[in-house]
Amino acid sequence: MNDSKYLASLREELRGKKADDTGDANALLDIAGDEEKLGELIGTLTDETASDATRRSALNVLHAVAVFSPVLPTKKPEYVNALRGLMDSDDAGLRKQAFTGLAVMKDEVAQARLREELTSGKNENDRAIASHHAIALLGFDEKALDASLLRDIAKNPPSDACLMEAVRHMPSDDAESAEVLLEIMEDDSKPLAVRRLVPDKVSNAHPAGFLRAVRKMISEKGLGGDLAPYLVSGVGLIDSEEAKSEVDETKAILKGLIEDAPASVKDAARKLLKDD
Amino acid sequence: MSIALTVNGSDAPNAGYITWTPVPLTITNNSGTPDRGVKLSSRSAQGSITKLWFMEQRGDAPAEEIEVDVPGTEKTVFVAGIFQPGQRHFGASRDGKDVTIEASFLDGVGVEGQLDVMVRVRRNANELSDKARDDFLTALAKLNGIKVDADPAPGPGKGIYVTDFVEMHVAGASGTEHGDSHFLPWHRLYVLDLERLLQEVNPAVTLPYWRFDQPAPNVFHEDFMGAMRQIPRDMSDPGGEFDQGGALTPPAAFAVDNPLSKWQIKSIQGIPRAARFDPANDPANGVADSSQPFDFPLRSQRETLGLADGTPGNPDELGVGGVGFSRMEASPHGAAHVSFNGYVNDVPVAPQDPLFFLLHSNVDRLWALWQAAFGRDASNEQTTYPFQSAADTPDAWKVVSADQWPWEDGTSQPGGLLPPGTRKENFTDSPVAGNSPGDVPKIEDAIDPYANRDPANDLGFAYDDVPYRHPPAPPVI
Repeated sequence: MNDSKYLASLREELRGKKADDTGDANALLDIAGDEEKLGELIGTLTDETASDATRRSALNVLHAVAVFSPVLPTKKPEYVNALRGLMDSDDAGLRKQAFTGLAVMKDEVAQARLREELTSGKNENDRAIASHHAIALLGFDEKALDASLLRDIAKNPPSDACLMEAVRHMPSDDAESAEVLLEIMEDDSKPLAVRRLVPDKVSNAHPAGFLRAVRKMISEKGLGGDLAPYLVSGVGLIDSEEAKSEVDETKAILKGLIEDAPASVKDAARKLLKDD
Repeated sequence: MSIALTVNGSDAPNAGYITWTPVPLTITNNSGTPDRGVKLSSRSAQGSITKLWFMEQRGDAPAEEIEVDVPGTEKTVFVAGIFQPGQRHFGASRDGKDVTIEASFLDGVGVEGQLDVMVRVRRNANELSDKARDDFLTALAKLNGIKVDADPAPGPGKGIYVTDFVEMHVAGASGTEHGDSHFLPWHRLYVLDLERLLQEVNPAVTLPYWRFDQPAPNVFHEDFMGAMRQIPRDMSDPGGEFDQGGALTPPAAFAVDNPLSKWQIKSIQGIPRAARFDPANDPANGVADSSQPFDFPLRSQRETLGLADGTPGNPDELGVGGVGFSRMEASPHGAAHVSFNGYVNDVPVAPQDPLFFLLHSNVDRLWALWQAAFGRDASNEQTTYPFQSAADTPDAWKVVSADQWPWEDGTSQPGGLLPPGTRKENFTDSPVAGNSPGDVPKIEDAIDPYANRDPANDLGFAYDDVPYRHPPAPPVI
């Protein structure tokens, strides 16, 4: 029998090859299960005599064991306090790691601080953490990042990175946000990497507005632009009975242009036009 | 045709899926003449190498052809896929029903009954056909809420993948799911629940496994789980800092026609991910910090299976904490997770990246392979699972007979969370697994998924490289 021989040969291969019980994998397992050792690492974070490099390393170990440690969650209060203390560190790397560790835990103190940094009006270099990072970290908790703040940032982004994070995180359910997103999509001066996020976000949430924008853009620029595949793909996501006639109208326009379109657009259109 | 054939007790199209485990095959004689003998054999489709075993009784040695008497008009025998080491997917089907059961009367001429089936098992993600890959991605996208067909869709980021499967693997449930020997059976149930939902979308789909101790260039590609940049393995190198949860990591890149290009978790678009290894050429490799120094390597498959290999001083038991096979939770499992920056490196958000399920499919496969190698699938044996009763652990949810959250009507550990979404008393059924494991699974339901010990344990899934234990053929005299 093939299965018996297979298993027998597997057992034979393993026999006599005792697993290395002294390796670092087990060392980390030991730390992960040791309340005292974890406590020492957390203590390093608040030890003012420890160097920034030592504290960064302690955080690295804590992060690495967090994936499988049954004990670390039980030390949450001390860990949170230690991280909060690092939000004002002189070391930018420690601040970033501290804010990250707290944001993942949806810590309200860190969230308030991140929102404060975002709305402070300070120069980017003077902020405790880069604005686009602050947006991304607030994104761990949907309650921490409201749409109006994201709209404000998207309308006047201090950087392309901020614009990217604002668009990535913006909900599309409300008409105001959809309008801001569609303006970005239609604006050639905005980075393509940001504009191409918009179709998937708004096409089904606001099909009428999206389809109007698509038809306008296609009539002005055809299907040769870099954004075209994403526009076409977005049309394919529309699931609204009310928008069916507009979808059909848009599909008819696309069919008229598809033969001369680039391969990327044809690929995106394949599923959309398959049943026609 | 005068012979009707059904597998798994149903003639529904989504019942024609089998694994290496023998399942019922019912022969119905519709010829009008009862009490006729029937011969059963299989025929592979063109280009397929998939073949089938037949057994008159479940415990018989299997054969590629059998002849059976069918008293009256109906008889049930058993069928299974033939495990073929050295062949593509070990002989399992590539991406659909590619093998046909053929039945003919012993006193007749020609085939009088046929049934197409698929030997459907979890396959190496790096070796999937384009069709199998695309079928999987489409089904996964549908569960995310992305519109992929004519069915109504709630919208990206709003599907059951997010409301249920992301929400059940969070910090408030970390004790329910991690840190001890229950880690493996809990995650086996978790990935199976998702896989059955994928199969409701497309019954040919299985959850592929990412063999993280081997290079997987076909996986980390724009057409599959995404292309991503490489960062240093050493966290003390510039750019190598640990980004817990990946908020500060750029998203992986997907082709515009890859359904994962539209992946969202609620409103947030994209899957942040960067690898600490060369995704085109190298296996995952864990993480290090040369300033500490520490080095957290990823154990190879051989090293993992050798954690408890039955040699003296290395008892072949699942074990508890730092003893036995359960150490694999740290490495390779934990090491695989932290081989990236991204959602996937942090427990509360890891499933937001669907790579999580390919990673855990491999973790589960390693357990299944270890179980098969050492016969560790008897749920009442302590070497198989250490917490047999309340006397073995103060944590009731870890006992082998304990109902598991979130499917049970209870709360999680340590956060006291209620079951999210629709999971309460709602483990997904499968037309190929009878009623197993029911609406509320226990740990013991996960221990013998191939039904090596009891047919009732069959969970209807398998891995390409983990066989069923058939009895040997009798000696030829």
